[in-house]
Amino acid sequence: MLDARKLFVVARFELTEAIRSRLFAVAMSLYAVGAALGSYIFLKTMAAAETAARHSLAASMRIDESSLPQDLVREKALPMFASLVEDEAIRGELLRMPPLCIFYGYMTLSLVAALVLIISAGTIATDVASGATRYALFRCDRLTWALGKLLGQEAVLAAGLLLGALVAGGVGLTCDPHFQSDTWVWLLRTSFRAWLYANAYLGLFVGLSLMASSALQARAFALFCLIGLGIAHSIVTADWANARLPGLRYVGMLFPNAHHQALWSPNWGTYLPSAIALFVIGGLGFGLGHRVFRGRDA
Amino acid sequence: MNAVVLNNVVKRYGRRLALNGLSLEIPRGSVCAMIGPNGCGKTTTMGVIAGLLMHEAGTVDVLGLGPFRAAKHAGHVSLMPQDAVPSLHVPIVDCLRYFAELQGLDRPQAKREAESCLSKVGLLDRASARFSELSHGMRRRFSIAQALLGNPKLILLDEPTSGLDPELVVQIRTLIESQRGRATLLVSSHILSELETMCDHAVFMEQGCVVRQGSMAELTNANSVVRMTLTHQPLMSALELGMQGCTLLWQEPVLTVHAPRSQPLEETNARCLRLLLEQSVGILQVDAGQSLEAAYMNLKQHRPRQ
Repeated sequence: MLDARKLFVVARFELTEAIRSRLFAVAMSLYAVGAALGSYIFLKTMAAAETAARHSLAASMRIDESSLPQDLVREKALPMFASLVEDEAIRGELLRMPPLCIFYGYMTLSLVAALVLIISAGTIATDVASGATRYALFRCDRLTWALGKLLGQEAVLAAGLLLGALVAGGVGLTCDPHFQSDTWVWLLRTSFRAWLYANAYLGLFVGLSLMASSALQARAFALFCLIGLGIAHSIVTADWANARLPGLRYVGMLFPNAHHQALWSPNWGTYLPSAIALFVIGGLGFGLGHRVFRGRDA
Repeated sequence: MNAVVLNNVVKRYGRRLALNGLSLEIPRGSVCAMIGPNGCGKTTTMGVIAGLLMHEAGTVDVLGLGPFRAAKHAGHVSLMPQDAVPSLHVPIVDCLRYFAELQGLDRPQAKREAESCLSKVGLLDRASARFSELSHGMRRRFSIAQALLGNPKLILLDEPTSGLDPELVVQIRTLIESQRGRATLLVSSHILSELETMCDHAVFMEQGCVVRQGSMAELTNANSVVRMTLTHQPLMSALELGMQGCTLLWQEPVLTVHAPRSQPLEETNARCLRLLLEQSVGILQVDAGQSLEAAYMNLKQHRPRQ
């Protein structure tokens, strides 16, 4: 029976413990440095592209640079890239977003699964291996404890993504002369989407951790799962596979990758089902893991 | 009324049989010793009672509420595990507070209880240290402190004094004895002299089975055996003549007298003391029953090897 108060106690302790761990400090430092460096390089590249484009355009048109639009790359080049996106609503959303947020969002969504793997994949297996479960599981039922750990890891992940957004925004504030205050809101929104996306992987990896007997084994399971999901998703969404097995594309909805793009959509009709699907995928992974965990030795 | 009843419990680790039809009864309110060689299933038994290990067959009843279920037993059962690490990154006082909250105490109560338990084991001055910063002895004390949190009705202590210095052993023994009457305690240890002084019941285990269990008086024959520690060996022939019906055993410096069950022990004791004094043999100590160690070794010797 799930105990809400104990669930909160476990989640709070998990968050406290994770934040004080060396692994979290190292992973977050690397993530923050990555976000800072990535944002810096992106902004510098954008600025260089802007300068080069203005020079060459002004020279070829034999006009003064000042008569060209202020944000040439954003106004002219971005729509070109955005036109590659089929969904009209997403295309519009991308054009409204500051380029830094598009870059940060894309990078975060691409890297968040690896971040979950590093920070959270070993969480429960570590406790089983170290014997920490032998202090907790006679005080609390297994479902409450495991779910509390999952919620704690969700909070850890949110803290990490928030840190990354703050670092990227800080870099934008210092290095981008066109930085606008609404960039913060876009960065937070992007981080929230990445968190939603990461929930699927978190549920799956914690589920695997519930079956593993050591942190190393849990991380190995998670790595195979991550690679396996990528390969399997490519297969079920491939045209040749769907030509042979019509309807296989719908199976692809069971993979987190399938919801990657929908998370950029401003339409709730597109966005919400994907967010729910990601929670369901995570929940299924956790549920399967818990089925094994409730009947195993701790 | 028993605090724990295990009936024909079977537990395997892969192919290895850890508990082989183990049946056990621990009376409520007793301090029960669990004795047996390494690998005989003591830790496994505690794990099964605390719901940490899953048994394949048999029945388990804990505090009259059936097998361990956190919903029913949380807060009533506590365990001091062997060599388990609670958390590496959080101060020990926060760890204890967390455990106390999991047991159902609210935050302020949990804080008070955590500090009180640390104080009981003499670790209050190290409250902000992490578990990884504690010495082996301090870790054992922390483990005991967490087992005493709240008011558990059943406390399982897995080798609470192993690897501790003599002073700490005495402290911990006193702490365990202070729980007598408040809770049922199950204590496993290899130091039989220590268990003899702490416990009033004992369970002898071997190869995943209980080979004998009962009160300490029954197991040590406290109603039919007298042990006398003497200054020197008495004249055994004269003693045997005066103690007819009794079996005498001299193992320097202890004389063990086995009296027939029909004869009151006080009478045997008085007769033997008189004879020894007549021989001018100094009597340093008199104990009822054989030592637990002797009882255990006796059992091992008379039990056919499997």
